Amino acid sequence: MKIDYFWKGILFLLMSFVIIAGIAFPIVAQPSTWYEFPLIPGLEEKAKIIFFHVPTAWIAVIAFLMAMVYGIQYLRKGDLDNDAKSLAALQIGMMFTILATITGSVWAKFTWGAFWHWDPRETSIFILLLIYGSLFALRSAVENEDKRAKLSAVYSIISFLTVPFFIFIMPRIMTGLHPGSANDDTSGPVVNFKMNGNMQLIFYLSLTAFTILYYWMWSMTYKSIIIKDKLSKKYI
Amino acid sequence: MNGLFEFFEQNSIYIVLAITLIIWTGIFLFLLSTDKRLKEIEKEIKEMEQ
Repeated sequence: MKIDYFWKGILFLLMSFVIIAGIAFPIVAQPSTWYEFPLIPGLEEKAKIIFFHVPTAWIAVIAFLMAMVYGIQYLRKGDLDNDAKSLAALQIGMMFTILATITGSVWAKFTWGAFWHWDPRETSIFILLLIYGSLFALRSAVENEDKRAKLSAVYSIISFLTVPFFIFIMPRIMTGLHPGSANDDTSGPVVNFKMNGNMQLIFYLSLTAFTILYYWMWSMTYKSIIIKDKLSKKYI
Repeated sequence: MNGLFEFFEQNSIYIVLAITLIIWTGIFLFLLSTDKRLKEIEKEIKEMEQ
């Protein structure tokens, strides 16, 4: 109980700090104090999206990874509890993929000029949305619990194989508009592109805060799925 | 007081910051209460099962 309040308190403070730093810290040409961010040509003030948009995509990856891990555990043990965990991760992963797409699209309007460009990054996340969207269609089409869990587990394993390629590899080896693509002169891993130490630190703090938030949301979703399962078995 | 008002009028990003912080606090409190409620329901179901 106590440890419960501890990490929730940490989450509140961490996220509040990330919001304060991410929104209010000024971007200047020559950062001289710890609370100033460097100016990145072409991005300017809009570079601050990295503190909120990238973590949503990051959570999507973690969630899909966890969906695969629990899918494997279901296949090994046949315990429907693992299927509930996998489903909770899938639902949150899907939500955050959509959030990453929408936030990126709003940002693109003001950085690249239109909401959608079929940039490699946009194309790859669109394909991911299709892949995981069809997983939910598959789940809703199967009535038998064990069959549904088995199909969903196998599908989540196969579809996660494409995630590293679509999120981390393809948008970097192809030329495109998104920061970190192959023709970006600030290239290299996206994280390192012309951020100074403070900006990177706050970026990592943001990833941490969002990961804790994800864990909380995941455990709540999982609990509610279990409760719903138990009640429907009891009264029907 | 007037000076403070003028400062916020010229640096409206801090207003955005305040609003975002208030929204985050609201979402956080909502999550806390929903989590608590879920725990209570879990407990009740456990009692019903026994």
